[in-house]
Amino acid sequence: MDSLQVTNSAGDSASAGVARPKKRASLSRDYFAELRGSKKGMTGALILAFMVLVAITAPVIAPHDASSQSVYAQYAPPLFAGGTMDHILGADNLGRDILSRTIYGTQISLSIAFIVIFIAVSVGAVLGAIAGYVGGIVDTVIMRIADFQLSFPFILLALVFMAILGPGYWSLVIALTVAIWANYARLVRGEALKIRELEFVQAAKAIGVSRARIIWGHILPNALPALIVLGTLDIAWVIITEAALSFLGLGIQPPTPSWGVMLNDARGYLYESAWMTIFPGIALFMTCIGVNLLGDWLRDTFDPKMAKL
Amino acid sequence: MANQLLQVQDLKKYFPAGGTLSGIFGKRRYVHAVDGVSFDIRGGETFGLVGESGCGKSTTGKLILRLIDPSSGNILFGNKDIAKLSGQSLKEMHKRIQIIFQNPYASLDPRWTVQKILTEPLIAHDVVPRSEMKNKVAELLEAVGLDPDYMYRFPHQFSGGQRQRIGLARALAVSPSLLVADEPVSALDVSIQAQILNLMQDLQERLNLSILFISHNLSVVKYLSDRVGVMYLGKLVEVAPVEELFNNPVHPYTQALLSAIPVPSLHVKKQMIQLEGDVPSPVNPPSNCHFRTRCPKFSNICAEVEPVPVRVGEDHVVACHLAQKTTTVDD
Repeated sequence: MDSLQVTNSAGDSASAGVARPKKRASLSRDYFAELRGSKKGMTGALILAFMVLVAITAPVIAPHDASSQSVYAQYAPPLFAGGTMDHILGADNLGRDILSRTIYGTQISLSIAFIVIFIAVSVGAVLGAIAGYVGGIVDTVIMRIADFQLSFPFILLALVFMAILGPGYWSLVIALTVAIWANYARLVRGEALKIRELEFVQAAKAIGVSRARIIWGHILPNALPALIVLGTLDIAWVIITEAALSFLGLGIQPPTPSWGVMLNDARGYLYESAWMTIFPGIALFMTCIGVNLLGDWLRDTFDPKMAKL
Repeated sequence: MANQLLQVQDLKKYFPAGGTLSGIFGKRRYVHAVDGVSFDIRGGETFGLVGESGCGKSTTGKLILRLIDPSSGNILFGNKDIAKLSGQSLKEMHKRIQIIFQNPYASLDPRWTVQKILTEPLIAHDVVPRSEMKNKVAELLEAVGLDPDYMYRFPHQFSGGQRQRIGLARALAVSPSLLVADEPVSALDVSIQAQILNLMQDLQERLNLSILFISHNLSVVKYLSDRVGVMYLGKLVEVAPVEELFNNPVHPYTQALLSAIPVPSLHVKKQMIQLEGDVPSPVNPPSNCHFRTRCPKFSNICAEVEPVPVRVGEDHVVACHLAQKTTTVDD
């Protein structure tokens, strides 16, 4: 992509300067300027930034403790439906403040999403790069493991992990990581197959640079744009799946305020106290919309060829 | 024949054609990319390797660097056979032989600064201590006629010719004795081609470098080379000193190739030899003489007996039955 923006105006002679002097940091600044110019990207970034801010400042901004119950506040309606300022978004069947629980739920959802994506991308990218660059038996072994993993029904996999480790935050992280690392391994393997034939990799090989250095220095950095795009879009998948598993009782356990747990709690009161489902639902929806908008923009920017698909 | 730096003997590279399963159904087929090539490169000379697209000249270059592994044959460099090296000794060899590539836009990592690109070989071979890296990079840039301040820039901020200079600096960082130049100027403007060629010539004299110059451009090869090898469909058909080859081509293919060089004159009328048909598929090349299907001077022996290289003049070797018949083989 970068290679297209050649400053051809500069002559070749030794003394001729490069036409457009640029500073080193300008690349990231260019992207930021482009982000600001895109409604889609900016909306997504703002939503995600807001959610991250909420998650970080949860103990400060939440009006109540997430799991403190109050008999007086049971089924308290939200402010716009005749409630009080004490519970702006109402309270649930145990009198717990919905706003506070939704705010703390942001912490759970986002932290799981970021941890899972970070581990899965790191592991998947490194394994994929090794498979793609080294090839041969190494490639076969890694990719068959990935194929095996991808052919395994996810819910079954999650059940197995919950059965072995017991349901909870970290078993959920492990189950989700195991479920998606193979996507990145496949993606990076494909990129590595492409990049390793490029002449700068051939040149590094001709210099005698070691395989590890080529993978680390050339293959992975050049596979990064595709990784960032897929990783960002997958954040939404992780958030929704986390909520789904928690809803089914396979993930975060009550009374910890995960959005999935809240939705499950609210299941029986859908007619009487709809606010119990609406607000965690909106939070879930908004976060995923934000992530997807940002991911779409990243894809358009980093990989214009993929945008047409 | 003394002073041989590199000796290639009966080098072959067959690429498997078709998918993994094709071997199950019938005989496995191979692309005969390089099919028994022998030549030598002497110290300080430029050996030009010419031929049309797909004749195996780039593959030959890559085989010499072991970017791909040969199917058979020897590549003798000093007292070592490059074809059989591995691990540390292969890495040592890379310090002696380097390569520059055709496409200056793909040969530099777009995410690396020039400084990082040029330190890569310095680190890999411990050329200079870390504290002196920067000076060495500046020195390399100056050697190829670029401003040392350019080291902080990224490849996309340079023109094609400047990038090719950077590629050259990277290759020379380890002070090699042989440089494989794989069509180094064919992606550049004509005016810039001349600059790069002159630079290569300068550096060659200064560093006592031998160059294997791979190109399809006969005028460029004529300008730069001391000796020239002509390849056709994976085989080397003729090797001769540059003057000898251009004045007195013996192989019918060489004759046809040279007759195709355009002459910028209204008065000189050249007889162009028009070859019939296309280059046959390298998967299933004609038996024995590969050129026989298109040769204007074809006779029965060409299909029956493989032509062996014979000496037709001083330093002039031709693989053609015709040459055998018309020329007496001295010494």
